[in-house]
Amino acid sequence: MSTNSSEIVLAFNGAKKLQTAASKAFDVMRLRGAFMSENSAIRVSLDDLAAFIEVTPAVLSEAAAANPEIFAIETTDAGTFLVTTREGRTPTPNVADANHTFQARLMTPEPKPAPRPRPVREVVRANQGWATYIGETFGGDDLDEDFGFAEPVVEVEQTVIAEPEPVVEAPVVEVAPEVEEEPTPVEAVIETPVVEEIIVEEVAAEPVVEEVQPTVENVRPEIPVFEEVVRQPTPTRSLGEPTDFSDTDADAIADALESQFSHHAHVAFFGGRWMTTDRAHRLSRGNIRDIRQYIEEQEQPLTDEMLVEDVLRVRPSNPEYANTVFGLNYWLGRERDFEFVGTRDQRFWSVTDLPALGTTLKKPNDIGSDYRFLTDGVDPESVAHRSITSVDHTISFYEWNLGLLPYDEEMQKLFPAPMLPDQRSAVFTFEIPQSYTTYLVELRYPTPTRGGFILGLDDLYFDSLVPGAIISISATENDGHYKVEYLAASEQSGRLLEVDDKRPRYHFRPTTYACAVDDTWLLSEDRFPNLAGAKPLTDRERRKLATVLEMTFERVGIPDGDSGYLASFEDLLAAINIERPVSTELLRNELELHSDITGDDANGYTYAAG
Amino acid sequence: MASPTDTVQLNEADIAFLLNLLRDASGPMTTAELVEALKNRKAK
Repeated sequence: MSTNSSEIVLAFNGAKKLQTAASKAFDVMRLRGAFMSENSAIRVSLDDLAAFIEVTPAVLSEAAAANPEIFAIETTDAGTFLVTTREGRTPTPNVADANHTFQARLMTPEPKPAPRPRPVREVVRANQGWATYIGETFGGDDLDEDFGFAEPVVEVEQTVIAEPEPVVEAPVVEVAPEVEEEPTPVEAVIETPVVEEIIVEEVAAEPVVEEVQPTVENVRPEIPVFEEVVRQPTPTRSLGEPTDFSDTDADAIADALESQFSHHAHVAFFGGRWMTTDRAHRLSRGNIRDIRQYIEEQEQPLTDEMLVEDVLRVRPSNPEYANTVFGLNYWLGRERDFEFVGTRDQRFWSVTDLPALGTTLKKPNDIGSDYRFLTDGVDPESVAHRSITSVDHTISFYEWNLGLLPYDEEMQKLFPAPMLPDQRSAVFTFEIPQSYTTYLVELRYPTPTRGGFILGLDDLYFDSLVPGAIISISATENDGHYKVEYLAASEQSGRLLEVDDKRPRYHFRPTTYACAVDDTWLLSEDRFPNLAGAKPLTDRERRKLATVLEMTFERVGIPDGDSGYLASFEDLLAAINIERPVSTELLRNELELHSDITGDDANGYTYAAG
Repeated sequence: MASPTDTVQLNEADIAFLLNLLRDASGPMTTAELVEALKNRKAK
């Protein structure tokens, strides 16, 4: 940009009067644009300028017209303007030439290359039976351009005619052999007897004509005609008549539903509840991971409702709450790492590596083996679960020490059957109204080789009860929740049997308790003083009931002076349940079978040792 | 009509009825509700 203000001498054309007007006008405009660049347009209203230099606008227009290389006249909506530059030239638009910039060369794509020659595509002729629909799904031109196919070098226009019936066995397209040798444009008429019949019969107005373009080397080969396929109409499928179940037993219908309907692909079934799979709330992998972590953090099985509220953040007031709870149960049931340990009304979920509830003094499998006698002669299918509302039970030393309850026939009638076919255990809540506490306990269902038992009552037993205490377990409407009560009594004190964990020995410890006890099960020092300091039997010794019975005679029996021991049935029953669980019937049976034991309940039993 | 002592067999019409029932339900249905719906279907 230049702002040189040196004087410029211009020669104006026209009459003297016009030259004077032009000169004055230029001087005024140059003054107006004194601080403008040399080539910037100085624009002044023609009327104002004429008034300023005291000439008429017509004179000034004439002066400008006489000097077109100096002045230009612009007419806009705002009026007529006289335009010039400080150089005394008509302004020219100052537009940078961007036709060949480096940026444009980089940014402008190359022109589309010439299309490759399109290969001659074979026209597939389908039997009419297959030609159900020819839509516009693929736009021919656009698709061809996208994939670089252009118009074919040789384009054979062909009128496609629907295949007639009956079957056409002759080739549809035939080109005379001399066409290949003839480079000049050829118009060939395809003559096929059958096609001609079709033309006559069906498309008489449009004869079949093949126009072969100049290059005819690529004459397509003969196209075979498909055999006619006679399509039978699809028969309408009838669902049949719905069955009338109005007089059918409801249990039979329920069984039929679970056996025939629960495995339907669109049906989600869990715990006696049904939904369609598409409506059951789905769990993401993140949800499943969070649920697993939450259970591990809590270190105990959790119910589905806890998981939905705490992990999935769905509240009971949410309309989707029921669907979410159902979906969680249904989808967790399909996860390998989760284990259902609940009941129909209280659905607990656990994870595979969660620490087991209850005692750590003995493995659950060993406890199950100890309770194996509970399965003898009992048909699991014949037990009517939830058929009684309460069970009274006297706690033995073995149960008290390990926090157990036997899952005997009475208990089986009280508790529900496993909800799932392969369910191994179930978690229940035991509410103790007398201490305002609730315990989680686990029921290990019996297997063919192990008896069932309930574990997880250690704290209740140690805090409030002693061996011999009588407890009552009552069912509630919730099949996963039970109330446990014990008979309260005035405080009593005594030296009762315990196991010294540090030094595996039995010993008697002063104990104060406030519950009613069955004295035949109470193991006090006054009753069995010989138990003090006795070592618990080894697992090998415990395995054989006869050995345990012999040891019990030696521990609690009274020497008869002839290397034998005399003991009452009640003492034997209470003492033998220190080492392993033994029922009254089992003990009586063992007493009868043992060759070295004689006696009866009235006179006591004698074991002739050695 | 299925007699009370027969083994109950659900045909395709019954399955279709049950599926529609589940699709129209606002939430999970219990087995008892499905049984009741099957028994009352004729009356409806």
